[in-house]
Amino acid sequence: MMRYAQINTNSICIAVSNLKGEVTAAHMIPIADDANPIGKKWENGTWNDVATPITYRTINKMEAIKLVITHAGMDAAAEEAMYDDPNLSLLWKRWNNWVPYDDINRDKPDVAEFLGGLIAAGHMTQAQVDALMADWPKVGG
Amino acid sequence: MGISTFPADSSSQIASIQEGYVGIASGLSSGSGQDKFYYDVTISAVDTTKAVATVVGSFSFTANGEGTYYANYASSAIVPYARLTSSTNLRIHTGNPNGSPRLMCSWKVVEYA
Repeated sequence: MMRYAQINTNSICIAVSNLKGEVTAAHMIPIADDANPIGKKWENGTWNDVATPITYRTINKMEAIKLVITHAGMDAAAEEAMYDDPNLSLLWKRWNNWVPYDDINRDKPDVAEFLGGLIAAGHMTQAQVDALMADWPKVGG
Repeated sequence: MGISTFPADSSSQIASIQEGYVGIASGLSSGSGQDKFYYDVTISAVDTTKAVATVVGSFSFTANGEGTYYANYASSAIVPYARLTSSTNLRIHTGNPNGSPRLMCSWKVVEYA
């Protein structure tokens, strides 16, 4: 048996195969019997780990509001002021009527509009929003 | 009278066994029909008239395009299949999923004498 790692066009190992004979191909890398480089990158004759891109998960409205309150450092009075702010009347109507409860996606325009509105009305700072975006729940996190 | 199966000493009829596994975070090739999503695995040459390719086990995800991944369950499962498209190419393929499937599976190619 010959054991090979098969790499894709980005040199990432996506398959490991025990074959009956030798195979000669640029995308087939001979490996040891106990090797498992799946997901690793073949570079200059060695297998290197690949940084996993961050994937943010969709959250619900309750989680979103909690993120806002936490990152803005709001107490109950500040929270209530945010809800009752007449400058945010349209924003809250859109938030309540247009945005599905459990489909708050970090990269959707309605999130940017919502947070931008909070900044414009003085309930959050840009730095707080930046911190919120960085702390957005991640897949598997 | 029973169903005809392999001879008692069926192992003597097997010329070769090749096996492996595929773990694809993303990047399955796209085609049509039964090859809507597929990945080609290079194998040592077999006689395609005497070889059988199978998926032994699999696990899959579908991404909804918004960063959420769902493990598949019975009603929407991504079921991968295996077939030989040439003497040296095993194709792992599936025709049913929407979205961007992520697939892990093990496979086996048994060649009979």
